[in-house]
Amino acid sequence: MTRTTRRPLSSASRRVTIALALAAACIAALAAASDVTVPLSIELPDNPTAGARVFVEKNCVRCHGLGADEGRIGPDLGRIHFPGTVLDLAGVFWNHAPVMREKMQDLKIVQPHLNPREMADLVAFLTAYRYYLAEVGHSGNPIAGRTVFEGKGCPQCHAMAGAITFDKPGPRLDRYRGQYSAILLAQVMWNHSPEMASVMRGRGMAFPRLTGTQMADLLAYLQAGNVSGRQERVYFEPGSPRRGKELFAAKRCSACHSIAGAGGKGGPDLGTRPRELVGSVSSIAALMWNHSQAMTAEFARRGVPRVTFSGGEMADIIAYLYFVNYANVRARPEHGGVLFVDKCSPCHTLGGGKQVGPDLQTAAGLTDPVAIMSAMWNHSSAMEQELRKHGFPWPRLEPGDAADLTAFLLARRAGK
Amino acid sequence: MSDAPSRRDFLVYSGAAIAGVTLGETGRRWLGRMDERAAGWRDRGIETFAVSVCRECLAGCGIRVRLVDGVPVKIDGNPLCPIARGRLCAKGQAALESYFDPDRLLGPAHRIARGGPARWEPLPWKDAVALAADKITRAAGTPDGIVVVAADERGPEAEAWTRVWRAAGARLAWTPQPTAVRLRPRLRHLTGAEADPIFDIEHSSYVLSFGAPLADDWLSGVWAQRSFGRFRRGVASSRGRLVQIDGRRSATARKADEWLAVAPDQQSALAYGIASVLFRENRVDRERLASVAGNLGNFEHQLLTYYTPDNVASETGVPVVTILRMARELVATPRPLVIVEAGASVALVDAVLSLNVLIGAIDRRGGLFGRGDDPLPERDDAAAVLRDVAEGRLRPSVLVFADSSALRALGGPNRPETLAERVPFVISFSPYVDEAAAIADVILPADVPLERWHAMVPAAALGAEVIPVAAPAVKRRLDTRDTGSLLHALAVAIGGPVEAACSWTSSEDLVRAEVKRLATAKRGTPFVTTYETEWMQQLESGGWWAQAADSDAAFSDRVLASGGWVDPYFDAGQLTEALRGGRSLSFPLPEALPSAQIAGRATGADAAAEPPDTRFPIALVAFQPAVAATSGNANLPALFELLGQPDGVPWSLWVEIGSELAERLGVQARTRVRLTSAHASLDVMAVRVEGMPAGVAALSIVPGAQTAGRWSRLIGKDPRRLWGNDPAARACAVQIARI
Repeated sequence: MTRTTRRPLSSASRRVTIALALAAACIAALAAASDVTVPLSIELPDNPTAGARVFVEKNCVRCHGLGADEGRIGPDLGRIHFPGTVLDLAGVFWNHAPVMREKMQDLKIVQPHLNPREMADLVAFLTAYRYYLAEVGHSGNPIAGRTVFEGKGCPQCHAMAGAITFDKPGPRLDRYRGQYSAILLAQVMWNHSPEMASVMRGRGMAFPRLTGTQMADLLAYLQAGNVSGRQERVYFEPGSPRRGKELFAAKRCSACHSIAGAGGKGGPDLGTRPRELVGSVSSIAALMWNHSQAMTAEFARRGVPRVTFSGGEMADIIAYLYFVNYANVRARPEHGGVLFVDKCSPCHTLGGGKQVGPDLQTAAGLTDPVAIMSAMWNHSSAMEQELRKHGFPWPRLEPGDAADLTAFLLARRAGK
Repeated sequence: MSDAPSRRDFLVYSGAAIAGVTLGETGRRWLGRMDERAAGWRDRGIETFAVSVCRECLAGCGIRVRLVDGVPVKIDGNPLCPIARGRLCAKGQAALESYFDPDRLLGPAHRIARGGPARWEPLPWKDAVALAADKITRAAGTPDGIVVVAADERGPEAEAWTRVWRAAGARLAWTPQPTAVRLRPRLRHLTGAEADPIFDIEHSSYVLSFGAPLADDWLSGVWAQRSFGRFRRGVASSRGRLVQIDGRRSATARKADEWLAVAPDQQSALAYGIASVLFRENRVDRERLASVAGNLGNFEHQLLTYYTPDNVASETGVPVVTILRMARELVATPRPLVIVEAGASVALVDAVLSLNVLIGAIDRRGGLFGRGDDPLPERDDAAAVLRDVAEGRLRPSVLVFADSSALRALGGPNRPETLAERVPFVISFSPYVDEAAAIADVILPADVPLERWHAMVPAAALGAEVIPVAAPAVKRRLDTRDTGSLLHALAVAIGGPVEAACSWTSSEDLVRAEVKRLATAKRGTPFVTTYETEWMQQLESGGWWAQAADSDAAFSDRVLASGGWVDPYFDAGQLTEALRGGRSLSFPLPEALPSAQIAGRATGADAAAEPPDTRFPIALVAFQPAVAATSGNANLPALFELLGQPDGVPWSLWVEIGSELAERLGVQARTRVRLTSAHASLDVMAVRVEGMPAGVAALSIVPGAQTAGRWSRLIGKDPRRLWGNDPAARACAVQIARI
């Protein structure tokens, strides 16, 4: 039986490794004391659906299908709930690289090469996948929505088709039939919530609170009965997280809400509630609806005009809230140093010249987190072969490790 | 021995060196010459591909044409087209022969003299258009004026055609195509929904087919075959079971798990018989139907009264146990579906749609859906109009043919030349020497499909809305024009309101306007891969839509490069929605079993009163082989090679007869027989088919025989003459004798 043996390192490499180990040990000791984190600069995507084309062109689609497409080798990515950051997603990519490579070999698929732009589009698409498909694609139940409509007292103010309307303070809701966008309805509800609350108070009604499912069912009920035909369906273009971030500032949401500690006070920190925000449009809309009264009161207390949305603004804001955790990456470079020594230093150096792999201090193109991600993916096949040759196991990354490692590499390359 | 080279060595080496240098120089010069020649070849044999749309039927499959040095050499399916996804039927592949057809018209022509053998002489375009415009202008004031016939297509070109001829005061008539549009009126009658029926074959677990040529060419041929393949491969978790009810042993019947030989006019009785068993054994979900039941009670009463298994068995010859078994099988599977041929009788279509309601197939995965909202305008049947013209009930001054589809229909005039005798002036737009051209006074030949701009509404088959769009795949080979330009030239020559109605100058204008409309629709996408199409469908289901291009120009380029546009969103609840809107189900109430109308005895509505004619004991059922069912060119030798499969009788008509009848007539393989009806006789090859009933024979019909070019003339006589003055009947009574 053949036993693989580790190749002895050269004396220079050994010295560099020892030095790095000592440095890392010192850093780790300091980190343990201070647990210093630094933000990593990740660009929010402008169009999260652009990666759909990359997904097809790079043959990901040959193994990973949509929910309805049965019989694929890889898992349906729409069913995986992944609330982590973009670099955690990169870590998952990395951990599965050997399995994916094996399957690709079986299917005679050449491992796709991804440039940083393509990698950015792909990870944004994979993050948005669930948002657009698994959640939004499964629309609410209009029959249950009717129960919500009646149970929450909506008929007291609004009429549906065929009903007499002159005694109702609210507008007829037939106009929303065929408007196939939950965003549009959520936007209208948000914008009119103060007037609705005022009428409800006048009539002695309690302001209705809605769960995400109830909101989805209600919207489905309002949309049902598309008697107006295919041509009149109204769609929203997928929101832009980047534009949403700008709106978040421009609409002064950031005056009350902070993101991971950065921003105003008063409202909850949206960076600390990823699970609530990584949901469907209707669940986020329900959250906003439920808090609309408190927010209105806070606006009044601060003497600022209430925020309303028009056009595609609500779509952008909700997309940003969905992606808020995606780019909100804080990393511990010190821990990255420890990881480097443990997982990378057998093959790579930082300033020690080429060993088995390149010197990561001077290797070209490793200028930002996404570029590092794409380089890791593109070289994963060669790395795996080298690791097998030298009898090393595939280094696995836990959540947060990819960010820490990236922060460490970028800091060292910047000479810090 | 000395080591110095000898004189002999010196001479040998010198000779070798001189020979080497000489040969080397010769070789170098030869190679140089070859290089020079190769330089000329480098620009030859360049392979390119162009997308286009197959127009051999209304399915609108996207095609990809391989060109070498700009010359088309092969046609395959366009993998981005959601209808065919890269597959293509034999007709589509044979479309190449239309481009190279040696019998294509070289340019505009006019008939030298009426009567006698057709003789034409070329005419410059200007003169040909002026001649046609003059006749049209003069005809505008006459009682029956102008009659215009064309295949029932939809899309910008068909709309342009309608606008121009309406402005000219013409009466428009259309040849119905074997698409879901033909089933639409009955679905509307039953459910109230303005929608084309969409049959979800691939997700069904059991298909009961009443004559639907699922494995041949049904509704949208390539889509049907793809769906059939997926149905068989078990997309819906297990291999689907197909039961084919068919008058003949068609390719679909051969591939079915079970084939029941039942003549077409008996099939509605069998369908109602199965429905009756469902009621009798209480296998109908009454609770589900309760809110929309409409006249369910009357329907049930009618079936239970007239369509008892015993009655149906005696009418159809199908044993009672088989009827009971089929009814039980139908509701024992999770996703059963009943389908029907597009050209089936109203009674059969009603029976099939009603059965689908009873088994709960409406708006159910693997069932029957509806697609579309806009009511379609009623269109006159071209075959009936032409019959009126041929028989003198209608006397137009000008008759215009866009194509020969109306002259090929089974219900059309049996002798097209009578039209030329009755109508003073006939115009044909067909690019081929076909039935329409044969009787035309002036021919304004349009481009063949590979040369054309395309934007059309294909036959409804998918849930998605698809518009195949393409620019010409090849250069125009002969002196022809696109239909848009022809209409424009005619409109300008006619002037007045006709010219005002023409807002385009060419088909390119029409197609580009359609692409512009699609760009502003804010939905759908240019053709993309299966995955991207599904992705778009999911997005649209959630109310999202991702723009395909940054500008209209870029969008147009993408649509033309990919071969079309698709909106994959599908509202799978349209029929239910129509019923929820206050409309109840309106079941057709079947009459008492038409015992006197059984095939093999007589045909026609009034046949019940007449005693059967014992001289003609065989019911002859007509069928069009899938490869011959084309609305375009009928002069395609590659397709004639495929006739008579799998029995191998290419290049001829054939009649299929059962073993019992074959034994009686002494018919062996490939024996020629004579079919004699009350109107005519026809000699054809007989093919023995196991399992066909003794009283039924099936005759193949190949359109365009004798008139559509040198290849089609080899096929033989027009078999429609056997039907005589009753062309609307699907079966006629004949006598068969061995020659």
